Amino acid sequence: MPGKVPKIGTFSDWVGLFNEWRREVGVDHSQIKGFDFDTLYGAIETEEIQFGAYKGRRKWENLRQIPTQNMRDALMNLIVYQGDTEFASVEQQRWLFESAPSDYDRSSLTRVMIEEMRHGWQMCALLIEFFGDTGKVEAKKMLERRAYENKRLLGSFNEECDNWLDFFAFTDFVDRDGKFQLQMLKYSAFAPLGRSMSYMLREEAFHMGTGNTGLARIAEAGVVPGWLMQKYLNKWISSSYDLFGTDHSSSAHWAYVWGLKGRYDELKNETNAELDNLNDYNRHLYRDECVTLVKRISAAQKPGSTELYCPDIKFNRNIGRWKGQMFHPQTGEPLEEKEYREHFETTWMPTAADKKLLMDIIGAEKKWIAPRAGAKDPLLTIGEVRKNALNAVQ
Amino acid sequence: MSYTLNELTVVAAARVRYQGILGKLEDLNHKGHEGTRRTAVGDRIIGAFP
Repeated sequence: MPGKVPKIGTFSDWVGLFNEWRREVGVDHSQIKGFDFDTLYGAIETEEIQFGAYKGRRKWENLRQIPTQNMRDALMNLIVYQGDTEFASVEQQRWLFESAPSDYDRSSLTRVMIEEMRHGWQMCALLIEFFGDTGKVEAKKMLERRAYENKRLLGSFNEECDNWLDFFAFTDFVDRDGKFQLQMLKYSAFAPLGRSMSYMLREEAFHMGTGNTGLARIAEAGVVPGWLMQKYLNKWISSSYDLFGTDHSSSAHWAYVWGLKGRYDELKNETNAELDNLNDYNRHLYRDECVTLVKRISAAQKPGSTELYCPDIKFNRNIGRWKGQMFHPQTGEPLEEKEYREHFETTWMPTAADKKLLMDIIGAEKKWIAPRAGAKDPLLTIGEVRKNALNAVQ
Repeated sequence: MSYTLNELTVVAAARVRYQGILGKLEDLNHKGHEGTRRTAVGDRIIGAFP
């Protein structure tokens, strides 16, 4: 009927839409089609709420146990955003199969995509099982938005990711941001979300490893200039800083008080949370991790190469207290507008000309990336993670 | 029992109007969720995880 949108009645209805989405996006080739998508849960540390106003009470197993409607709404919001990014990343990376530098990399990409799709599946399964009609509507909308139509909920997930340097930087740094989000939700007072995250984190580890190893292999080959790699690090790491949110976020404050989303280091951190500063606290933990990783990538370069760096937390920010301000990416020093504008594109961020140069190098130089020595085919080991699921049929 | 064409037209029109009202109620329901309580779960692009 014109103007009437078909509704989802059951999870099977949603699976039908998921299969259609895969066909439309172009990610339903045989290796993906043959994968057994499933809703899987991992172990959580405790059945007791670990932080916030309800600390010490039993975790909630369904929505009826959650005390107020605004808490249920905030919880659904967290799940919707998480799920939206999972499908978005698959849409962003869908053209990379043909340009894979090796069979190993093609298998890695396939595995990353399969697991991201499964994460989106997992979030939709929660929405449909626990959140009634509204959850069903949101699960359906998750498959209607498109990254390439600029309709995904988060800006970073609408950006193009159409070359393998972008892919490795994305999986190393944006997926790492994802890891932080999953970890913070793993401590959630809503037990089914915590168990979902526990298992998803095991899958996510492969994605970050793919990114970090890929960047190190590019650095090792020494064909892509270091200054060009640095621009891509600046692009993806600075946009990942923004993904943590505003510095004085009231939604982060309440998500913590309600026990829905903890700090990244919640179980190790014995101090009281600074409720007004949660996002920036987690952002700094994220940057600390990135600094170490960039050093590792830099160390893979040929001797005498310019050292790569992790951009300053104030550089190129579009959210928070540093939004729109001008800082040097390496030193963090404030800059005059003229100097900043001069260097922003020419020196610090990738331009269209940089992308063309990168594509020319990748097209002409077969050895632009060092081979991945001694690793097993990622699609052969994909099932090993499943042994950690609480409910997997072995 | 049979109906005149006029009677059938009235019934059909009433049915269309009924469906229209249902549709509007459904729209209002969703807009209500997204525009008020569930402010971020619309199709609004922002830069950060909630």
